[in-house]
Amino acid sequence: MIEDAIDLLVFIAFIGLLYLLASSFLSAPLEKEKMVIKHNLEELRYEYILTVMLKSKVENETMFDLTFRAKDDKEAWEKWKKGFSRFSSYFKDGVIVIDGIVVFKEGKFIEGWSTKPGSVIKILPVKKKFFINGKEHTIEFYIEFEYAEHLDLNI
Amino acid sequence: MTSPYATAKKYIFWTIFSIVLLTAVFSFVSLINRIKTNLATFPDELKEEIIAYRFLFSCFGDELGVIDLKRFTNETLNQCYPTESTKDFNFALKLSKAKRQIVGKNFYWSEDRTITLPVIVKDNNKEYVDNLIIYIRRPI
Repeated sequence: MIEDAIDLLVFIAFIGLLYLLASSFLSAPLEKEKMVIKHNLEELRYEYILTVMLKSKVENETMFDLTFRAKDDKEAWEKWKKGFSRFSSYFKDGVIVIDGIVVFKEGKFIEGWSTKPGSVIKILPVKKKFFINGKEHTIEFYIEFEYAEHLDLNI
Repeated sequence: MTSPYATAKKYIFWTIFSIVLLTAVFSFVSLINRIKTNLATFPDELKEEIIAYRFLFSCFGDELGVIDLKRFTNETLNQCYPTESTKDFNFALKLSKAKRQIVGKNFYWSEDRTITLPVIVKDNNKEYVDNLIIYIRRPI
């Protein structure tokens, strides 16, 4: 009787293991595919929001014009903050980087234009590149995974 | 001749074995069904979001993300995205600051999902940033 009970237990454990294996093998590629599509949709969404933000105006000046003047012009920076505040709820979980410098992080503006983003793991990176008077400018948005300056990550 | 004890033991064993086997079969069937459901529902999210983006690109304005308030009407919505019945994806749109809401011909409340995105609203000579709330009703 005990032997039969052990046989039965082994059988149940085998079926359980088979079920676990089947469920992970069958759903893993599907989940991966789903993640890729979701990721791309998110990228598309942030690309759109960033475009609208740059197109919007503050006192007859576009946010695009203000974005690259704000670094050297205090008045432009104040206007930029005012204009950006209308969109901050969309970006509150991420980081905005202009010309390689963090200007908005964790829902707050970074004053002083001195924080460099360093090497970080970037999720959902949306990058826009512009040439103004022959000089390259960038505006980036990404969700930061963690700061990892000690690692040489170039993601 | 087999003893009654051995016969009883055999019956108990096979009864439990059958229950376990049946449970296993049902679990595998439900697993396959779950995967099938996953496969079927996800494209809905993709499809509805792609349709929703047309309201930002060309329906109510000539530029990406710009809505001309004069064109933000039920008629424009129905022309831009005509639907046959509730078996299609149906939409209702609301501009929160402008306090204007338009509803597709076959849209019936309540919504299955909402997407909120910023837009630039042009109202005569005025121009301001607003939030466009897109209410999505999936095929019934």
